[in-house]
Amino acid sequence: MNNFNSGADQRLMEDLFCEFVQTWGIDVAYIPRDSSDPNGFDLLFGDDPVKKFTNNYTIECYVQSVDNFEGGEFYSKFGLMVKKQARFLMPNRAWKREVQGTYLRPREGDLLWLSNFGALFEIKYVDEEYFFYPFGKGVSDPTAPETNFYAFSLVVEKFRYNDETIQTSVPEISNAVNSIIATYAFNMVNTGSGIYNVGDIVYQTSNNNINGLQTANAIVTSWDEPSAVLQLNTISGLFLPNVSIFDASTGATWTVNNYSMLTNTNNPFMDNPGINEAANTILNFSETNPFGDS
Amino acid sequence: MFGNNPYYFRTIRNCVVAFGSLFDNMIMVKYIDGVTEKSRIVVPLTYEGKEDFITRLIDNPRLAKPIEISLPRASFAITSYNYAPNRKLSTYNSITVPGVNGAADQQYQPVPWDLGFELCIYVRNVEDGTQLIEQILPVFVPNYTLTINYVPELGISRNVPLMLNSVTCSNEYEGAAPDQERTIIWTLGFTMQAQLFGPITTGNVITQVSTNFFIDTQLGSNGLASDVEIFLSDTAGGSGNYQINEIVYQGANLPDATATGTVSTWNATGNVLVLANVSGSFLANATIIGATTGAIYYVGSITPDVLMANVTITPLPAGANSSNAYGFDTVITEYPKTV
Repeated sequence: MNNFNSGADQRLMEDLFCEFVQTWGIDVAYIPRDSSDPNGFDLLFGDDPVKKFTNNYTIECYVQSVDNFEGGEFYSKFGLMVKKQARFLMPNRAWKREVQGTYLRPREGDLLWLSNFGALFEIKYVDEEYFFYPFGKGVSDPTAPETNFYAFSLVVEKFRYNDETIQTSVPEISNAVNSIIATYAFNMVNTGSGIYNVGDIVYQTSNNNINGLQTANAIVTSWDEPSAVLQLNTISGLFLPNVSIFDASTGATWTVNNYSMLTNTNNPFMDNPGINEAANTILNFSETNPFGDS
Repeated sequence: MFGNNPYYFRTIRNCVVAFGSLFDNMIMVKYIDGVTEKSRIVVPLTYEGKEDFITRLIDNPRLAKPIEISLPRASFAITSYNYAPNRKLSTYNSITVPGVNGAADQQYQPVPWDLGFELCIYVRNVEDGTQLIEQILPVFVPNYTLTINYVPELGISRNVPLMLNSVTCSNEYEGAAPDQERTIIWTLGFTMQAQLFGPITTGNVITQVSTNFFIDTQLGSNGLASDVEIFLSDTAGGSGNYQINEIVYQGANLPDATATGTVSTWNATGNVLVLANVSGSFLANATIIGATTGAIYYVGSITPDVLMANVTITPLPAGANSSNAYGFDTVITEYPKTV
């Protein structure tokens, strides 16, 4: 008798585990990392400043951290850091069913969206050796021998957001991202036309014509026509006052009255506008850097 | 100990604001493939050490923060205060400006203190940090000078150098999984050469200045009031004419003279001889001899050998106060020595 190579027992064990997870677990949105870097990441420094998250897969997971998150909130010199960790078990079978071989495994740096907590978590660590395999590892798949185990153990921690692009098919994720992405309010002259739709790409052009050469672009976070306030994120280039912002998909055309990038409407914990306003009253701008070389 | 009149010009707070204003609009751009701009944001800046409840109420008001933190972020704080004796000026070089009701407001020279500042930048990626640092370092060579309106009440505005002293980068990446989290924090140390100001005092304007002083006529020069005017005797006889710039003396001969001088003017009609560059004391009833011409006369009297003068300065018009434009009137009165 060989207890460790009995495929039937191993399959039964995996069936029981998967059923258990489907009964007691939760659905999470697995959001794999992609990159705008053609190499996938910065080969020199080993990070990915332009990572993006544009796909999502719904996979059931079991929450191992049954009592609470590990860690907590910390007051730092940079503000509040919500360093909450959790541990999940993601059935290998569910993983293969949903992701279908696009990725070999959940990867560190990918995200999980937990609807229950309305939060984005980054996968910090993936372990396939969580189970001690009383019946041996799972039924071997000759095409992917490295995946013959029951589940991935995931350690996740709240995401350190760095203005990444996160565009999934889940509306609540989009709403959450719209609440954290750097967003700036543009006061428009209230004589424009058309509407800007959330998520549209808008732009200014060099000749102030909708078909002109784009000099700056951004994505619409919100548009309030009565107050003529347009909120934009993912700003690229320098928007100018007294120049129109066009939305090619709707034809909307409104002219910028003024805006300030010192106020990120999604980040109240910043002193930039207050410091700037106070500095205007105490700094003498009649000369710039006297005695300096720069 | 320090009196009952509190004073506070918010100088340190203003220095904090001035420092922060240099970094409140740092823009970080994300580039695709190092060339094409993907997006740009202004780096959020905060002053460190806010109250816990303030931090939480602002940063997590609905207890539903969906992320740990958004990066990049920058923070700054004052970290040290050091007296700077090498920049101390005389306390008595006070600053005075017109006050109300004709009075004057005065403040003594400020006291120099070096304020140490620390700027920290927390980034997720290495190049996020290097991009921001490359925008900061070239500005400081090694200092950048701000002009701060220190005491608006007195119109005091000073240039305040800010020196960049140190730059360090901490990249903590070692540790056991899964708790280890790579953390990149840049720390920049600065010194701001600030000045702290004492109280403003208010007093009445001094409307008359009167100064008495003595003039040592023996040390005068040609043509000045300090020349010695010698009246020669009409009755004792004499002969010759002194020449301008001729050396004259009293005594047996020039080398053994008891007093010498140089002729400034010679009035043969009035027998008045004016001497400059006098050395020694000329006496009455003794001859005074020209070293070149041989002219010789008896000294009748010497007037005066010492003057006391009084200089009185008053505003013009006399009723002017510190808020008016005014000139001044100077009266000089000379008195002969009476002892």
